[in-house]
Amino acid sequence: MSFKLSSEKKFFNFYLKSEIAASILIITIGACFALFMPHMIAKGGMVQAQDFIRLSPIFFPRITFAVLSILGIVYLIQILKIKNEEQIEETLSKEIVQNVSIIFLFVTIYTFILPYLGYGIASIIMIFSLSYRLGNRIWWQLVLLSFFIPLTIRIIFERVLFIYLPRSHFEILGAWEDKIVKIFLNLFFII
Amino acid sequence: MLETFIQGMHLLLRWDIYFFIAAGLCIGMFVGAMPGLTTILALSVLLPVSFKLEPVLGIPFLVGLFKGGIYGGSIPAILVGIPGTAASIATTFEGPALTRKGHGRKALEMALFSSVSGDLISDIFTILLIGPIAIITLMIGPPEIFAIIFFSLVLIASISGDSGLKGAIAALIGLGLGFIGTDAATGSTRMTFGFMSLSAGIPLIPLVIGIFALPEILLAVESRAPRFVSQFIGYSNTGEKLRWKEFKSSIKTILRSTGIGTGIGMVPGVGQVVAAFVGYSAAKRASTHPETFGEGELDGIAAPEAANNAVNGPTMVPLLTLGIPGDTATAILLGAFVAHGMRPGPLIFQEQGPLLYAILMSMVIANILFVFLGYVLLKPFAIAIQIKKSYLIPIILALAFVGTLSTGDNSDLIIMLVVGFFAYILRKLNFDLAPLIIAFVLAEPVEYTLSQTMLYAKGSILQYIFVTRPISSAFLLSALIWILYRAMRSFSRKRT
Amino acid sequence: MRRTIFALLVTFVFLVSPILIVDGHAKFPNRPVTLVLPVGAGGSHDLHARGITGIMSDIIGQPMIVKLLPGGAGMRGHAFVANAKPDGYTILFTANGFDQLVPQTRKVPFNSLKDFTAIAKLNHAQPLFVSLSNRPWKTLKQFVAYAKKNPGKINFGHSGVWGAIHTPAMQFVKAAGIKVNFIPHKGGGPALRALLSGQDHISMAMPTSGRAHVRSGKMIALGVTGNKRMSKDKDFKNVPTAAELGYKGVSFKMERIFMAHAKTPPERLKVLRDAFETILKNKSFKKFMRSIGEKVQFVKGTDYNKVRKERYDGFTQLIKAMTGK
Repeated sequence: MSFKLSSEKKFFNFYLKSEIAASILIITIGACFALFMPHMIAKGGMVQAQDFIRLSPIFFPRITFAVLSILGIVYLIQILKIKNEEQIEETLSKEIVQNVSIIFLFVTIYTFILPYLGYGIASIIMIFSLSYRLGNRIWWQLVLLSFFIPLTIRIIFERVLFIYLPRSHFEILGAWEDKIVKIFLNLFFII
Repeated sequence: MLETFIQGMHLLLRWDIYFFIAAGLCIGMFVGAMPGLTTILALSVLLPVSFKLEPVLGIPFLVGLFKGGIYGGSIPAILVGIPGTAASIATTFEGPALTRKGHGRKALEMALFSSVSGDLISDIFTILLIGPIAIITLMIGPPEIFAIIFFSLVLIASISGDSGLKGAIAALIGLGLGFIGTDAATGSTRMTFGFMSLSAGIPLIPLVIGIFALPEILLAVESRAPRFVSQFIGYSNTGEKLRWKEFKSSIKTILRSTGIGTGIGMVPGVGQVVAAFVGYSAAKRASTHPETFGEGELDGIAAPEAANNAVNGPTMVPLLTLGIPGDTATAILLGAFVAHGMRPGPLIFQEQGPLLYAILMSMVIANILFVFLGYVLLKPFAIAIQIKKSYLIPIILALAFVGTLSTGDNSDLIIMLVVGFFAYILRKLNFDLAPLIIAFVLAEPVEYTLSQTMLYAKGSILQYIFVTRPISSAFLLSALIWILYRAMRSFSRKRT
Repeated sequence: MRRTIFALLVTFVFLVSPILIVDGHAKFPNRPVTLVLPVGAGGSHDLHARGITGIMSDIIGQPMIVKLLPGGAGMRGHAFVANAKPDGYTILFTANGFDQLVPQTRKVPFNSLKDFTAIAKLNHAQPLFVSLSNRPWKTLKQFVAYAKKNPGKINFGHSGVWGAIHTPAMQFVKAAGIKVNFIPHKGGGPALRALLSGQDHISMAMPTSGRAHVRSGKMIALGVTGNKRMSKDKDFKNVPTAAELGYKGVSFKMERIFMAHAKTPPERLKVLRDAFETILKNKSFKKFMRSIGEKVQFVKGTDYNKVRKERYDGFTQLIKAMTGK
């Protein structure tokens, strides 16, 4: 079986490059997992829990990843066989990746500061920055939005549904948040 | 028996029952509409509230919560492509496309009416045939469950037509992800790499949010357009309503899905997610115009919605007749029954007949109420979607995080993030994520039931299945025949 | 410009002011306490918790919230509490199996005996050996005889490896010297269902779940674990203990216990322990426990700690015996 690279262009566009990268990733992960599966199983259960013919916990995962690896190879071959690059819908390009990465960074930062600052404060920061990034420049709207959304969420979830959201690691911030919520609740009931 | 029924109806002649059912429906709908909040969560949290009420109020309240939740999940599924509950995943196939075309409201209404119809029919069926259903459910054991799941998988795979290779890869990834965690048969933990948070497997909620919410948010920010919807329709006009003609054309689909859902409801461990997928697949197969599926086809909304609601009726049967819950939601309901002093089980019809009939009827009533309630509550949601992205996206993100945090701990956020990242990439590379999810959901049941079957078979599997378990054989054989048929067809097509 | 500065100033003052309302040294607890359950929604643990936390909130003056963290055979929940700040605001509602047995069967990031201390034991449940009434055996001894004649053919269903059914079941088969086919199920519910549908020949069930079926005659209780019969139970008072019938060592009971981090400050630990003693006298609590059909067999935290080590070692023996083979 021979495969030809596309005859004119010697390098692929961004989209196809990403596909190649993905397929290689799939192949390697698949192969590694399939081979090393026994190591990935922590001794925990009682294998003797089943005395007779049993499906060892290695069986299914191993097959799955082995087949995945093989399909990864097929995938790669399929990509390399592509002659008409123009026909491939380019859903990924450098600009898109840049745009999206920044937003993804926002989300990641949000995830990591959340345990330290608590849900309320982290959300305030997130909403403010994200809204700004997405084009909202109206100052008072930004402040209002970023303040009231976490507050409302906290109130609805904690008082009505009794679902508590994480507090800050630092006790002082957590207590501060509680105070603000209480103040607003009182205000709300007075009005 | 008829007189206990009539006595039960008497119990329903008070207005406060309807108030509580409605309250449950509203709260349920709200909870369902929040991606990440599950009805299970709401049920368990509000369980103590129901303790303080009398049984005839408390239990219908929870029932309303449950039903509202299943529908509620379709709202964000349709409007922004983020399923509010796992059961609405299949609704994301057609929903967002319809919304983009400006038919968001139509889709929401179709979902509402299909859900209610499926639920209603399934409930009535359950009430009338509770005895025979109880017998059937007892006959279903691991070999049957395995066979049914296998059959469903074949059906679902058959409609993934052109995605062929990528579909298979996605499915295998889903399968692999599904194996992470504890192997139920031997108790050993697999592929957790020492992370405690993975020891139960990847929790469904961070997975769903990661696979749907995050990529949707990322996709939405790719384009510079300020809104999700292509035209700003205006706050006074939320899109066209559903026409009777359109609903009528989907009636056959709804009936078919109801049948599927009811059947799956009788099988423990399969659940609403699978029912929705199977319903959708069956509708696409049976449709005269399968090409429209995926581009915004109302039938494709009716099918999964009717199916996932229809599961509810039969699921209650083992609960009521044996006192054994079929899934987590019914387990919580069992707790509610018990705390109210009712003992579901073989003796309940004798001991508390009227109350039980009242509760069963309240399920039917909840559906009828919901048609009106849901219709009214739809409007705000249909409007909300038209808000500018710069407002909407941070809100959606904040809510998505709340959803994950409410049922787990901070480490689930990281899972969500990692999953979301890869899910986005896969989507951009034109992988269809539906096979991934369904494979994930079914990974454990498939392996588990197969293990159990092998244990029961004590070595002679073929004989065990085909000789002693006819139901299971029927499904397995049908699935195999189907596969052969398809393989031969595609073979012969390649020849010509 | 001036208006903006003014607005900022107001906001600043507004936001900072709560800090100035100093708490002083508030008593414990001054914010909600989290009760972690290492099991999923809907089981008997969950049910107990929902009822108790409501009443407990009134006693300690702050809400007690339930956090479900199932997974890893209960170890995820335990690890969470072990890693949480030992300030008394995160406590655990678990069972003896999760505390003393399971951590010995797998790698866990904590040491059960060292990292946890008991707040109180709430009650226990003695699992019963059950079978359908149409089986060829009507007593435990007959069952054993049948099993000896048909080694490996009997399907013994249980709720999960090292679970509340599996553990006493293993103790039993070891004492009786029989060989059975253990069939794992996902929890007590499915195990009971498999028994009732005839797939499993014998299994075990907790009194609450088995009661209705024994009363209706469909199922028989062949024996009970532990050293004493359930003499106060009107349905099960005549069920013999395995020990009486000559099978020694079938002692496993499922005990529901509340635990806290071992490093919790002693004053706070005392507040928690006292709260649990207080709740016993509470009327709503008693009513709730009655309505779910559960008894209360309270043991103080300090007393329970004394038996933990002994039980722990007993399980070590059992594990060695069952896996060493």
